[in-house]
Amino acid sequence: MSPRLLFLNEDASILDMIRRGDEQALVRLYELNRKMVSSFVARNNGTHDDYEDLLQEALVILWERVRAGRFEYSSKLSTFIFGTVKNIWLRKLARARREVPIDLQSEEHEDPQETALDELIDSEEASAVKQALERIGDVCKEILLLYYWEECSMEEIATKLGFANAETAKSKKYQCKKALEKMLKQTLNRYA
Amino acid sequence: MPENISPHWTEDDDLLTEYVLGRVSDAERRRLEEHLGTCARCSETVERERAIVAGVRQYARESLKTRLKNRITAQSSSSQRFGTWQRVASLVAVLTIIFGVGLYNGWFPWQERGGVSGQQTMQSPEKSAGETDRNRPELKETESAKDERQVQQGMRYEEEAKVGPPPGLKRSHEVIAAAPKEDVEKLDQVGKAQAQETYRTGAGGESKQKGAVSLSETRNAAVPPENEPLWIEGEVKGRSFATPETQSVQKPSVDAQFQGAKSEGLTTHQMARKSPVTSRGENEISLHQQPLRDLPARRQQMQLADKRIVQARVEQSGDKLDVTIFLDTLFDADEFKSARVEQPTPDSLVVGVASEEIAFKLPRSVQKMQKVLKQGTNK
Repeated sequence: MSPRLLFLNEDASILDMIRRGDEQALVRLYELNRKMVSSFVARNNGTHDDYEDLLQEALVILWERVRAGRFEYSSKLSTFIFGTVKNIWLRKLARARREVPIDLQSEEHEDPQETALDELIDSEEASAVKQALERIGDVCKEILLLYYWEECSMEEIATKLGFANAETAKSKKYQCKKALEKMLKQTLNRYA
Repeated sequence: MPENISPHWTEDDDLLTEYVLGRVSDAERRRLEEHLGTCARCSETVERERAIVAGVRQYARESLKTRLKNRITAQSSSSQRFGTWQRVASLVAVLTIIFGVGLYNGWFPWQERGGVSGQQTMQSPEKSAGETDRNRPELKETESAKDERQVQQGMRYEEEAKVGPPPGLKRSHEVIAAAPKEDVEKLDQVGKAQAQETYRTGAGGESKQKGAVSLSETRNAAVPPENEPLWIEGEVKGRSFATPETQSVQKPSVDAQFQGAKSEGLTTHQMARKSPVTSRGENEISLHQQPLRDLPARRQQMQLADKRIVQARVEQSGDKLDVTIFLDTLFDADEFKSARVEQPTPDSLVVGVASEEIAFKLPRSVQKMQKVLKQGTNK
């Protein structure tokens, strides 16, 4: 039995839950930050549905980064969540060509860990990949999710999925990726 | 980047992923991007890899969002249900607490019990019971006011003593409920007596012999403990006097002296059949009885749960030990007169009253108390 850990604060406890894959951590964060995000969105031309969607998206990003080991705990979780919400909301406002409130325009929003990949999320190619994943087999889907989303090593993938070793997992991942690219080619008809 | 790597570095799947996921150093990134600027094929490969990563993330995020929504919805609906149950549970808890307090304080009508009320005490023969009784501050106030009634009560008990205890009258709290109504009523009357009553051997209440036993029956007399009381648990062993015919023969006389006895290596049963072994001045024990309802609630429950168990409190009182047994139905005065208190071994105590024998195991704390008393007496 693993030793019981003592957490000094709520954030540490929640981060540990996320690392262990306990999705209940997100529910806790949702409850803790609901009012803050709700009031922010209401003040910035948003609706009730907007705030729910924004908060859930921010929580998912947090989950992703913690699981991939890319999250740096430099401020409170609520600060990160609020910053992420603001960035997402700003992008959405720009896309919808809604009026951007003055206070948001004047502020410099420092996205903690935004990458170019996040900007591609809503692209046509990404949507095609998503559709292909729904058609690909469960094992391939799981390998690709572990490799590209949770950024697991081949050793970790082999352990989680029961492969003989890392080389076997690597070989399987290569096959799955080729299958995915084939589907994309058929869907997009853009790859040579 | 290794020196021997092909300029078309995107052919290395691992390196490609590392670059796309941003895991390469700044210097390495610059070197890789230098090639991308001149190679369309590698640029396209990088774009395709980025799309795959973005698509996988989009798929994973949406799946997680859906699961999160479901959890939030499920939690909010269970909170609403829990709110109702929480209120019900709180109400039940409050009612349970009120019921428990009422039970402990005897609020409910069914908690009144019959039986000889108060406390009956046997004292060591060195002091006359009357003197001791008079000296007991808790008795001084009521004796003078209730003399006439006490005498009448005493006469009634003496008459009953001649007849003997009603046959079949057992001491189990379960059986007492089924006892003849007249017996219950009789005990009930005594139980409701307001006065402290004194019963003495012989007419006039004076001791016939020095050291003769006399009883005092007090109601709720509190023995001021000199030390913290200790609790012991006894087990009812059943009949020690075989038959009613032999009971009168084996029953010690009222002049018998009751105190602890030295161990002779006899069993409890053997000791009960012999005449009580006395050891004057040693391990003096004074026996009392009190109704079950005077027990703390927890101990009451323990005793009620197992009718063979008898709770007893041991306290030091002066130079002797007061042992108070708690019973659902008190022994009447006559039976209590005949009670035997023996200590066959240092760690055991036997109380024999009427047809019952209660054996106690004395913990070290009580033995220690006795030892201290003995040392005090020998000084």
